[in-house]
Amino acid sequence: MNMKMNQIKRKRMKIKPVKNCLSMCASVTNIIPDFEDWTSISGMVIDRNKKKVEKFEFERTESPLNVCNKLWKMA
Amino acid sequence: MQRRTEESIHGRMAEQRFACIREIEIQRQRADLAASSFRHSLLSVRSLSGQNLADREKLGRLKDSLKELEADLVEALSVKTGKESKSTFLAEALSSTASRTEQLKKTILDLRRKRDKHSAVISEQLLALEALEVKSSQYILERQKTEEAIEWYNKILGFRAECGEGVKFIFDKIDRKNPNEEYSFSIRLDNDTYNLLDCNTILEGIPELIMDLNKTNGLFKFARIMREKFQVAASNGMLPTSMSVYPDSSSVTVSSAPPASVDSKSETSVMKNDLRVKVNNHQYDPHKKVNTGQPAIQSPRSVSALRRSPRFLVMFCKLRSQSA
Repeated sequence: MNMKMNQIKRKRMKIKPVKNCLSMCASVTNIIPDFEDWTSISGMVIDRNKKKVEKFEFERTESPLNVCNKLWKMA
Repeated sequence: MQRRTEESIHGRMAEQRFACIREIEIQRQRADLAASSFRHSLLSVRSLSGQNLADREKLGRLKDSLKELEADLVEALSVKTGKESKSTFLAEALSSTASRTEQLKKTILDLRRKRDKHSAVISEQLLALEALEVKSSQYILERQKTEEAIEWYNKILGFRAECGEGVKFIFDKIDRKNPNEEYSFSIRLDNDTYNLLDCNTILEGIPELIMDLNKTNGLFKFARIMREKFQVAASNGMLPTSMSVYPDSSSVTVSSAPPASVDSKSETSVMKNDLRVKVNNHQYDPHKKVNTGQPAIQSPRSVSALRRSPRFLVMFCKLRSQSA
């Protein structure tokens, strides 16, 4: 039981930096992706100051570079 | 006279003869009777004797039988004695067994109670273990999802952050000609002061940006501006180098700590008067070896820069759970 609890603790400790990393990604980009949508690249751009959420959606056929730059502009 | 005397004598003698004869007859009869009686008696005696003999034989046999019986009795008595002692022994054994049985019953009851108690504990532990397993699988799933999300940012936005000596921001999809080229910079928070540890591309206006970052604490905005600067540099044909091109980070210092965490888009909340910024402008030489001026092993505070926006993370998690 103690071993299992230690394992859990270790897992919790290991997940923290990954979560922090994700937090950093989300905070830098202000973008929350929609992982349920497999047909397109979609999600939301959050403007906390204006308390505004702007949705975005791009076709997967679109150039990744264009999508990337458009999203960074939105961010 | 003589004659007469003789005759009387003869008469008397005849009388006596008759009397004697009668007596003899009587005696003969008596003797016969006695003889027949004797013969009868003899027969009787003989039969009695025979009977007696038979009885004696029977007696002998009975005596033998009696002896045998006596021997049997002795044997039986000895067996009985043995059995009695055995019985006593068995009774004692039974008694001790009974007491032992009672003791064992008590022990069994005690053990059953303990077993029930242990079973309850085990079932509790199993439930707890099950909960831990669920938690563990949840952690695994959470980590998997988090990594997937990070991968999304990396793949779609060409952005990832690495923790090490400070935080390293890595961007690709910057250069249209070389979208896989990685542009990066590392920044660290020491004593509430951001220090740029390295940057793999020559960029203009870095000290001002750092100064602004330390004023506003807008790390996220700083990262976005850095990306824009990388794009400008890439459009000017500047490629990232393998070595760091940013000079000594200790040249940019802030003497007072920036205020509490603010969003990159809300830097206006920072009071400029609170900060005294000293900037030593250096002429950047891309070939000059960079001295970060910091020890190799960093305090955990450098990583704490990652956690400047917990509210954003909470919001992110909520939105993810809603979309899930």
